Amino acid sequence: MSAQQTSARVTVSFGQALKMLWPYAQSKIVEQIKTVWLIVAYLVVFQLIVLAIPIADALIVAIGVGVVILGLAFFMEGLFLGLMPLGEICGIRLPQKAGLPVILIFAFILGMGATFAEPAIAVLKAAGSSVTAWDAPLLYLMLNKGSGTLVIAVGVGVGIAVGFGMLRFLYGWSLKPFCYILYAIIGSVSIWAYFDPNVIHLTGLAWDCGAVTTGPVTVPLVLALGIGISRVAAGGGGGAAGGFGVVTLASAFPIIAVLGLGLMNLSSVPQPGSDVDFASIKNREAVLKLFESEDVFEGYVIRKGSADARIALFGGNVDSLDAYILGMSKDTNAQEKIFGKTGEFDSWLLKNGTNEQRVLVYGSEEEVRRKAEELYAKPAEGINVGELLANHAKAAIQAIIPLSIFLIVVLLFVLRERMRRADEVILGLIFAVTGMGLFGIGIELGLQRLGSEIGRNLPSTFKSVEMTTQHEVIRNFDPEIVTKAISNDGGVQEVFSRKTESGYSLLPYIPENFDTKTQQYSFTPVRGPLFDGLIGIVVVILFAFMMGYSATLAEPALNALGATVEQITVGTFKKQLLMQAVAIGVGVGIALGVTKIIYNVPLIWMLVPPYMILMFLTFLSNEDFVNIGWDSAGVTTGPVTVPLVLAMGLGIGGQVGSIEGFGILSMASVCPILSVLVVGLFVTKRRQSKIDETAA
Amino acid sequence: MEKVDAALITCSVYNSVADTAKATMREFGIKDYHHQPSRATKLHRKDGIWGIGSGVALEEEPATRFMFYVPRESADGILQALISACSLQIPGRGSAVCEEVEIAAESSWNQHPLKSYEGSNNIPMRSDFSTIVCTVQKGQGNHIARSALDLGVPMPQVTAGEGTGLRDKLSVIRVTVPAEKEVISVMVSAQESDEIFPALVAAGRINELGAGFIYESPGARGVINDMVVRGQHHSASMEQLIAAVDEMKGSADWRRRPISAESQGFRYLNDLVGMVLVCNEGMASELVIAAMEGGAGGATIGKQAYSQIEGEQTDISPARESAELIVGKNQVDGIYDALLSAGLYGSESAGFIALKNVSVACTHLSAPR
Repeated sequence: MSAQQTSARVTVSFGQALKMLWPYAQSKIVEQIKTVWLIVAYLVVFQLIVLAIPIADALIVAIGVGVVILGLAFFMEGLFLGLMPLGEICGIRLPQKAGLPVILIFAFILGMGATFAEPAIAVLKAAGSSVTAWDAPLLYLMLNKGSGTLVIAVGVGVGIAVGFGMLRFLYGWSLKPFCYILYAIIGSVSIWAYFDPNVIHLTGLAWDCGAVTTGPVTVPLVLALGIGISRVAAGGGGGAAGGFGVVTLASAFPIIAVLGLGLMNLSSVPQPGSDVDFASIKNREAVLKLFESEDVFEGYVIRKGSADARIALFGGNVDSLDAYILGMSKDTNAQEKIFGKTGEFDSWLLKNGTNEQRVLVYGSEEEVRRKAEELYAKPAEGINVGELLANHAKAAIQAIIPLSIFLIVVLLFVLRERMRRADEVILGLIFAVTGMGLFGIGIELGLQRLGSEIGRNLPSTFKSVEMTTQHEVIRNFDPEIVTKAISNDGGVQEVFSRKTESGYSLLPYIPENFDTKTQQYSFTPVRGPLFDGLIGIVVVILFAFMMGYSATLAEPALNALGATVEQITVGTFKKQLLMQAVAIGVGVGIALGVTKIIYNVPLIWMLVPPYMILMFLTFLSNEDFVNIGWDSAGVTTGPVTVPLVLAMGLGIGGQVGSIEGFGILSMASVCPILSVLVVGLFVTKRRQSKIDETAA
Repeated sequence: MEKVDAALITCSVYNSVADTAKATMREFGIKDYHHQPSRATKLHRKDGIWGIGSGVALEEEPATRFMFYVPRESADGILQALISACSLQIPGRGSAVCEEVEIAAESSWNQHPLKSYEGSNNIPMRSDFSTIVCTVQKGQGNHIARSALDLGVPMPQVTAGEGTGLRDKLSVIRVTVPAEKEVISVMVSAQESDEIFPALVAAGRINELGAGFIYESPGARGVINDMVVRGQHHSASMEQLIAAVDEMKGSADWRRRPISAESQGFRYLNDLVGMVLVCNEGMASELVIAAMEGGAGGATIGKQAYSQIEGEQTDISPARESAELIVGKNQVDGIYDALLSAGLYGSESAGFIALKNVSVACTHLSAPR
């Protein structure tokens, strides 16, 4: 009855291989288009129709989106072929061939390694860059000078979490007590933090550290590992959802680790204050602890501080400041050290320096004018393709290869196991690296640009906002042409007419924008508010919801989690049901987070009540849904959501004068747990009622 | 190959009943069993809201299938115990059936005395079932399940599997060939199977290239979950009426609609044996390939879990795999030898072979040579 009885390998010609490859590649790419189209369409439509702002660099954005899709297709396939089977087989073999200490050491190293591999800390740094050292000294210290220690703390947290996760599977412990105890600790520290200005920012950072550690490589890997261990665990492995729960622990332990680290550092940082106080000589000793060196400190104040703070830096002596700047202008090494790039110094001086300083550096006013024209005429920087490729290739290799090698080494040498289907696994790892690299590039070129553009422009729905990308300079401006306009109530405003290629327009004249020395009038067009008062805010909140919702559907870690849940429940818990529940949860969370920023609600009010409800629902729910629900929270904050949400949070935060974009991410973690648990309670109740029906 | 007579007990219950089933097995002296998660399907008649969304939808529920072997004389006792403990005589809870099999003598089978059933209520069991098992590409499972339900066949159960066959003979290009399968199993009465079998072949286009495989194994007895449609409310007494007729007739067969007698013209394979292979995780694919070299066609590998209630530590891993090789009667010995030389009973595989009767099977067959 068998059609073929040859034992030899069947060789496939190149033509046949191509024929097999095409439908395969097509189906994988179509799958990813389905996950990404909503967020892309949404961002484009919002920008074009609601905000009516053309997309700058539309072509680059389009290429970026295409690359994201290709990258996701490779990455997901790589996960399913390489990383996850590798994790699962390690999970199955470990308890069979190694004792508890080996399992725990393995888990700890894996957790640590996963943290170092995830490029998450860089994301947090970007988020923290908007917070100044004088507003949040502790945060500044931890994200800059102390960032090495921060990464280690987070890594230790994740390592301990994975260890506890394995213990849970081996002994069949419930996840619930972990949720209660860990979040009780986190909750009480957070509440206490509310009363200490330095610690408020720390809480935001800690929550977000917990959220971002669980990224697209870590989550599938620990899930696969957990599923493997659960399959052979003597304790029964925890039912249908055996293998889940590690992600939850890997979110909670790092929060505690970061809070602990922050509290240890608390005594050595100054209290938050104004930048002038910060720069003044009397506080110098305390403040210097935040920086690697005095040079870095001076550079920081000069770059980020106000004019007064710069003077305070030199004990109120303007001449020393001027001398310092003059010295800097001649020393390109110093410029590079303090401003990053040599050109940045000129750009800083022309924008932020006083006129005296400019003349001092450039010699004459003529020269200053010429330099300023040069600066504004400089075209926007192009994309350095080589650098982009190199950075992302490096990040992808760093995220995947060391961990995979660790797993393979453990499998081959510690467990003395053969690698089955080694060719598939290796192909999978190559796919995963390629995919992650492409994905990163695509995110940077496509989604991030789109997201930050919208983030900047979004507040124009409810208030007037300067379009900073459209900054313009009129050279040789003559104030003589300024005339007056009258409004209905008799108020008089100065205006001037301007001719452009497309026609004539009337612009308001603001005397401060006119630089008498350079004869330049520079201005930033203003837009909005597009909608009146409350309606505008409602539009923003709705937008935030839709963005959270659609970005979540594109998250690779959530897609992997959903596929795993569907697989181990033989399709009775549909991936789509989980994805929708999580996405709605994230949407609501982000909408609440934006509300927090607009109305400046303290984070504590946004976090404590939902967590109280969450504890209650956790108590009511069955173990399977507790595991899956809590784990979903960890996977929502991934590479698609985080840049978009942060860009939006910082954009809105910057426009409404809120100092930090932190906290939105943590809202995006609480709400999806709630929504999955609610769905779970509903499903459980319905299933039980069906069985009860039969017994009647 | 030496064989020992035994009975395979398969108890499929919804997950909320699973703990009761486990407790009963423990109580009855079962020392170890295999189990596998599955998706049980039934139809749900919805009224919708003002008629919107009304209709008959497929409903999927998580269920667990427990499998263990007992001496033939103990089979009826444990069946009775499971049926009464889990109330399986009530439609909508699950099923428990027994099939007579032969176990390869070298397979490690923990044969031990079981308690005899001392319950008072003896529930009448039916003894004329056929098991139809149909393997299709992933995503097709619900279509087959729905087709079966539409014919009035109760509780089609879907499990996940991975195909082994031509795919494994390819180089790494095999990743382009999807290996994931769904395996649907249904229990039907022997008389009806003549109609239902071809209907499922037609529904799944099993006779076409790469579509799948289907076989029927006769001679099971027990109680099966007779609920086909949930939420069917006629006048209040209708369900009771149906139940009463069921009881009178001793089965629910009278409810099933006969299928249109198309002339199917499928070519079937007869006189077959099902070799049920169970081994440790990771070993099945090599063993199946060895069996293929010994003359078997492909097989679908499913993941199972092994639970030992009591007894000494053995080579049997808690993570197991199973595959059903459907082969010609004259091929059995050759394939068995091939499996043996591939290390079937080695400590790495800790394999197990049981043989069951397969009356008919169908798949794509190349043109007659």
